[in-house]
Amino acid sequence: MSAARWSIVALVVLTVVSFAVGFAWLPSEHGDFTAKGLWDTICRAAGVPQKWSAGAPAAATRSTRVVLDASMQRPQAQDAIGRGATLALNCTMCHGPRGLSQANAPNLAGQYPEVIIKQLMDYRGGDRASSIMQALAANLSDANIRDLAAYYTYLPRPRNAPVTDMSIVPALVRVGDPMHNVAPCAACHGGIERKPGAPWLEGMPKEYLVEQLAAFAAGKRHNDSHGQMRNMARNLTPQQIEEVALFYARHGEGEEGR
Amino acid sequence: MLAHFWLAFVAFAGAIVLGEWQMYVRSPLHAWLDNPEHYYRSVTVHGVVMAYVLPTLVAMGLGYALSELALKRPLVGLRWAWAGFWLVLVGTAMAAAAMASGHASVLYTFYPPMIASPFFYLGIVLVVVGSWIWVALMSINLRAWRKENPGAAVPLAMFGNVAGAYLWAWTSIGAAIEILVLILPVALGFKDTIDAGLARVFFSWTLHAIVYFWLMPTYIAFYTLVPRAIGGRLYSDTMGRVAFVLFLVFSMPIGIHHLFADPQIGAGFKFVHAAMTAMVSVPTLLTVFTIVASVEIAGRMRGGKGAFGWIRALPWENPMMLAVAFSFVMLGFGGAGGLINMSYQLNESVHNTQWVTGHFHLIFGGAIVIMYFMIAYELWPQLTACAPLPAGPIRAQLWLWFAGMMVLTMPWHYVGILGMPRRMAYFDFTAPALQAQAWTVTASAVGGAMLVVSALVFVYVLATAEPFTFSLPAHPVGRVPALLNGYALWVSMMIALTVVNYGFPIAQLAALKETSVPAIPMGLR
Amino acid sequence: MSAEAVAVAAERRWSRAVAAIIAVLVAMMVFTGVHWASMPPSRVETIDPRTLHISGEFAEGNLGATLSPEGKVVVRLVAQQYSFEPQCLLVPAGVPVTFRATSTDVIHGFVVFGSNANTMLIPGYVATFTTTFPAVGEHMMPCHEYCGTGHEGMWARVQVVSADEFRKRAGNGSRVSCVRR
Repeated sequence: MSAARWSIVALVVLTVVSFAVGFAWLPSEHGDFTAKGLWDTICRAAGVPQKWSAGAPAAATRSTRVVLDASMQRPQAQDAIGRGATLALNCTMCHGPRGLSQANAPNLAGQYPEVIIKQLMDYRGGDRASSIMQALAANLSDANIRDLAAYYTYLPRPRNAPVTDMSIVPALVRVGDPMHNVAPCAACHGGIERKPGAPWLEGMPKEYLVEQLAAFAAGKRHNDSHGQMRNMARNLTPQQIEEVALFYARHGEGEEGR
Repeated sequence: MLAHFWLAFVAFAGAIVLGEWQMYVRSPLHAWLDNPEHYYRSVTVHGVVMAYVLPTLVAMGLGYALSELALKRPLVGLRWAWAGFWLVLVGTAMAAAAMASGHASVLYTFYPPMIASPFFYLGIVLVVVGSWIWVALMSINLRAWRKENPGAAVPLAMFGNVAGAYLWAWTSIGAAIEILVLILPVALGFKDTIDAGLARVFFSWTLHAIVYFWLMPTYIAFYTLVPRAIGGRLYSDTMGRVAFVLFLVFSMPIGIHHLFADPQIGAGFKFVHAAMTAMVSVPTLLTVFTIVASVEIAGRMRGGKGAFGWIRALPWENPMMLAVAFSFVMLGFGGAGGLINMSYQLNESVHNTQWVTGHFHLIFGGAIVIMYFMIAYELWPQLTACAPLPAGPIRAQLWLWFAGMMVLTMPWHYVGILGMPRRMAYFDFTAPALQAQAWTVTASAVGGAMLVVSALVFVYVLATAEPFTFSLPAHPVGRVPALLNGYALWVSMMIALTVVNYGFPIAQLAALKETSVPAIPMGLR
Repeated sequence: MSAEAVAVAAERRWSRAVAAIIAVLVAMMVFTGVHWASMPPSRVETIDPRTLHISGEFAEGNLGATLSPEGKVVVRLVAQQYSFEPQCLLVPAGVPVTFRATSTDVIHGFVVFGSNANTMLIPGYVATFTTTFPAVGEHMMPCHEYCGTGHEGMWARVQVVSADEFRKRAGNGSRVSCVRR
């Protein structure tokens, strides 16, 4: 046999044998591969998707029903902003005429659109607790919510100078607390990266931030899907919460002087 | 060629400083970084330069040099070669700009759904396209030579060179498809979702064989430069050819061994790739034998006697001798590590731990790159015609590189077995579970510092010696069998194996619509 | 024998040695695959990462360790930027534990120190594998695939308790974890 033919035969034999071992012999040792016969075993070994577990879910404790979608982040048309402005007249008592609140309600000016959309939908669906907000959100349609988000996004944020002196930024914001499974705040909330759904925090009222972190830590607030914030807040010490809230609240100091 | 080498080595020097910085800031010697993103940015730059820019330019430069020197004729397509160089340069600059601005901290593996700036990907695409021009030129030049020398044996150096070129052309297709078809539409904003599993499969297509593309210049050096440089003969020209064709067939269709721990590939394909990966260790084992035998010839020609006496008789003051010895030691350790990684189940213990990082720094940064240095030292006289280089500094540079690499990578392997994960910007070494691991990172940082010094010495000490000639085989090359003089059969096998080993997983994943998941753009916008 | 014949004979001997080495390695893989049933996650299963939190196997209330009436232990978890949910996994010692996990956003992965539990978590796919923890104790479980700038803060813990204790806590069909709530 010529060398070429010998090489080809050798390669074919090698391939066939390894396929036989990989697709028939090895999977045959595992019950969950072989349950339905040889062809099925081969398909499973090849990577055809199957269901591998009959894990019956318990009644799911729901955190939120909102699916964050790229379309929520896209800028809306001008008339959406106008409609949102009209709807927002109902909100000025707590959230301020220009989205900057005088009370402990969160500032909405310049907030990311998908954040506002998600929180309003959660209030409407009862996944985030607040007697006032749930009542107010109950009457909002999806279109209303998107218009409100468009309006608030368009409002200018509280003026704040960029941080140049790293020493005033708390460690938690810069580097997190790794051994307690706390990522840097700036990795999701902006400064380093921003994760869709994570709100802009600069200039938020301090009491509001402390309150929300405590609510996450206790599990009382649970509209963060899969506990993204609860997993963080639960591992924070009270000092860390104070430090972080103070930093974000002060960071937004501008004309408002808060 | 000089342009290629200079760009490669300048980028290398920059990237190696970054690499050491990373080691240092991650170690107990330094407080945590203020911003973890800086670490990941540095890792991205270090990886992209060391994996994509340096070896591609070295292979291209060496390829052009071999084409002229081995075939003894001027290069056909010089203008195209320059075009390729400029593409690589522009691509590198574009990717570097994207990385430096923080919009591409996705690491050189850029696994979706994390998506970086489109300029990052376009930069890489340009680098690869520039190298494709080189591939075409290698093929064209060989064909022109064959026409003038019908039936003659292709010089071994050129044979390996073109084999490497074909291998690269085929293997780069995987990442090219991933970038052009899957990632760029998302990066440019035309699509919102991407199949993360399929992207990893395409990347794995490239990821393994690319290391053999990196390895080709080194093995060419082993076969065709080392024996002559140390005053010996190549033990067997045929074995060299066999090794190169085996690489051509088996390097590529084994990439799924990078995906052993992934949930999107079935067990059957994982096993098949593992078994075939065992096959790709064959050409290396053959090479080890052949080169050691060639070195033995040199030793005996110098009067060495007995089973081991020839070792002492070797020209140890010759930098090439040192380099090949160091390379083989590192190849031994690194290759053993590779065999562990390949072993399907053993891989589970080490996947994505620092063992992996230690492994590839040892085998690529160590065994392969040390021969890149020697290639540069050997070719420099040809390229620049400058004054002779004192062997002393070269030997010192090589010693420093070897010692530094061992100090860097051995603790690294160990801490990987302890479980230390990859790609973390900092560790809390005060935590009890991590205290035992702290010394290894400090040790590696020291090793890295030695490497930086060695690299800087290398860049400064590039000079020339005698005129350049290739090694003579011990037994004159008579008729080389056609199979070892051409590529048709081996390239067909490579393609056929690719279809068999990758075809179904790719088709299967591409057909699944439900696995397209939302893309996550990186970098503040 | 001519020098060339000597060389060829030596090469042939070496080639046989190489073939033997390769055969041993591959045989080892086959042997461990057959007898010790240690196989990497290789059961392909797809899932939509966008709706994991709403309902289905990976909804929040279903995560954690479960003990089926037949005695099978299954641990379900989810990886996201930048935590595992649940952050602390409770498992029994000496009993095969099946992990099922997926990701909600980017590619993650985890390794459990001191064990051979090691997998990638790719959004769109469910990773399933089985392993056994021999002894009681606590292990760290870091995320080992770069998942963004919070990656270095993504660690969970695995608490291995005795099989009896586990049975006591999980026996009533609930999903258990060791997260201090």
